[in-house]
Amino acid sequence: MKTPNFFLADECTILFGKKSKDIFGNYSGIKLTSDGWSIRVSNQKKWKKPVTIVIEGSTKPVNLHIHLGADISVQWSIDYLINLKQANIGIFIKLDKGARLVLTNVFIGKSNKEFTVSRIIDQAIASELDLSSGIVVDGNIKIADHYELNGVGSRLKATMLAIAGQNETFTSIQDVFHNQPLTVSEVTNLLVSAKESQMHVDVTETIGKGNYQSVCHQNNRGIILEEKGSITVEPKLIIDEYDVDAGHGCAIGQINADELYYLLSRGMNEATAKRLIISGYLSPLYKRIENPGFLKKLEKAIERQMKGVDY
Amino acid sequence: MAVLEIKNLVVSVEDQVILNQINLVIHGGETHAIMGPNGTGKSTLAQVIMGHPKYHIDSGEILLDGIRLNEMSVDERSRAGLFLAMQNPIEVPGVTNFDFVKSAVQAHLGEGKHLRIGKFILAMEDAAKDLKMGSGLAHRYVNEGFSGGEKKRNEILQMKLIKPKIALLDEIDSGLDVDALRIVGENVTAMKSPDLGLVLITHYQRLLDSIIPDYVHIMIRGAIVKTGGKELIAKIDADGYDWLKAELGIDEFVEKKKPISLGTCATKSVK
Repeated sequence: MKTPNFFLADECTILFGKKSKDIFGNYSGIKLTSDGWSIRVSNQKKWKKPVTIVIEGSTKPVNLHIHLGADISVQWSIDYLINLKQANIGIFIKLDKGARLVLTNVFIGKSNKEFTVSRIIDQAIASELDLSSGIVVDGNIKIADHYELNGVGSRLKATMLAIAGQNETFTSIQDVFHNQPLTVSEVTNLLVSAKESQMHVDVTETIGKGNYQSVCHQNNRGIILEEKGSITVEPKLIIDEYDVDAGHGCAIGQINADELYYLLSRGMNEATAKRLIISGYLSPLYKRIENPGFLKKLEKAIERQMKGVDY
Repeated sequence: MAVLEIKNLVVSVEDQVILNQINLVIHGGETHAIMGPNGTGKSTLAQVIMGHPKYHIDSGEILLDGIRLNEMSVDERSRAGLFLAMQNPIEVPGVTNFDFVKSAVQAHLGEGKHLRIGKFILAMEDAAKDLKMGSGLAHRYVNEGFSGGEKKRNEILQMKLIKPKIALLDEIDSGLDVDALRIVGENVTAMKSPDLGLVLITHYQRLLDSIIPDYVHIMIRGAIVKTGGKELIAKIDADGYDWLKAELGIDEFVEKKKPISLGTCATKSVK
C-alpha cells in the first residue's frame, strides 16, 4: 500500500480507526501484528519533526509496540480517544542504545467500563525517555507503569497529570527499576481530584546493589478541590546501594491560599481565580501538545471533568 | 473623585491589638505616605483594607465612596476600586502574566462587557515598555523567576492596566535599584490624577523623592501617631523616630512577648 503523503509531512496525524485493520496496511514502519500495532523506527529521516498519532479507543484490547533503533531521536505524541466500552490498552516501548524518545501520551474520553493501561518500558545503554502523560478520562481507570532502566546511563523523566471527576476512581501503580549503574529517573505526578473522586498513586523506585551513582527522584503533588474528594500517594524508595542520590516528596492539599488571595486581590472572583490556578497546574501538559486539534479536545475534556466543581 | 475613609479601625490577632483606632481619609488626587519603624502595622493596615482573610476587624469602618467595605470579599473590594501592590508579590506557577493580567482587567469590566483583546495587548505592551520590562513578559509565568525589581515593576504594570481608584503601594521601593526606582517613580507619578488616590508605605525617603506625597503619617505600635507634610520625611531620614518617642512620651518599642507553648512532655499517670 502506498504511504499517504500526510504521513511524511512535517507534522501529521495518524488515525487508527475502530476497524483498525483498514488503516494503513503494511507501511514499512508500522505493522499490525498478532500482538497489536507495531512501530519500528530505524530510519531517522522520516521522523525528524514532531508527530502526533491519535488512536481511537477500541472494545478489543489494543497493544502498541514502539521500538526505536540505536541513536534514533524522535518526538511523538501518541494520544488515545477512549471508547465508551474501552478495552485494556498495552503500550510497549523499547529503546535501543542511545535512542531518545520524547513522548506525550494523553488519554481523554469517557468509558462506562473500568479499564487498564499497561505501559512497559525497556531502556538500553544511554537511552533517554521523556514521557509526559495526561489522563482526563470520565470513568474508572488504572494505569500500570513498569520501567526497566536496563542500560548503563539510561535516563527516564516521567511526568503524569491526572484529573478525576465525579465518583471516579483513578489508580496508578508505577514501578521503576534501576538495573544498571548511572541510571537516572525523575518521576513527577500531578493530581487533581475534582468533585467526589478517589485517586491513588503508588510509586516504587528500586535501585539494586552495585548500581552506583544512580539518581532517582519522585515528586508528587495533589490538589483536592472538594471536601469529599481524596488523594492518597505512597511514594517508596527501595535502595540497596550506598552511592546513590535519591529522594521523594509528596504534597497534597487544597489550592494555595496565598496564590488565591493574590488573584482575588486583582478582582477575579473565587471561581475564576481557582480555574486560573488549576490551568497553571495543568500547563506542563498543555505545553507538550503540538496538535491544536487535539489540544482543543483535551481542553474540553478537562472542562468536562471540572464542570460542577463547587468553587 | 474617590474617597477612602478609615474610621476608628481596630484589628487584633490572637487577643493582641495590632491596629489601634486608625483614622485616615484619602481623596482621589492625594498622595499619602505611611512611614514607621519595622513591625508597627503599616503592611497589616494595607492588608486589612484589602480584606486579607487572616485579619478580623474588631471595630471601626472602611468606606470607599461611602460604601462600607468591611463585609466585602477581597475580589469585591478590588472591583470596587482598591488595589494593593504587594510587598512580596506571589508567584503563580504555570499561569502566564498575560492570562493573569487579562483576567484581572476583564474582572473589572463588569458583567456583560468583554475585553477587546487587540486593544488590551497593545496596552500591556505599552505598559511593559514604559516600565522597561522587556519583551517576553507576557509569556512568563506570574512572578516566577522574576528578580525583586521585576516583581515590583510587574505590580505597577497591573496597576496601570487595572486603573484603580485607590492604590496602596506596600514597600514598592524595596528590591529596586536606583534606575528601577526612578522608572517606578516616573510611572506612578504619571498616573497621578484626581481619579487616583495613592497610599505609599515605605521606610525610605528615596521613594518619596520620586513620588512626592501630600501627607505623611507615622505609625507606631499599630496607631497613627503623627501626621504632617513632606517636612516630616527629612526629619525621619535625619533623626529616625527617637525624637517622636520623646515628643509623644512613648517609652520603648518593646514588643510584649507572649509565652509560646512548645508542647508538653509525655506524662504517665498512676492510678
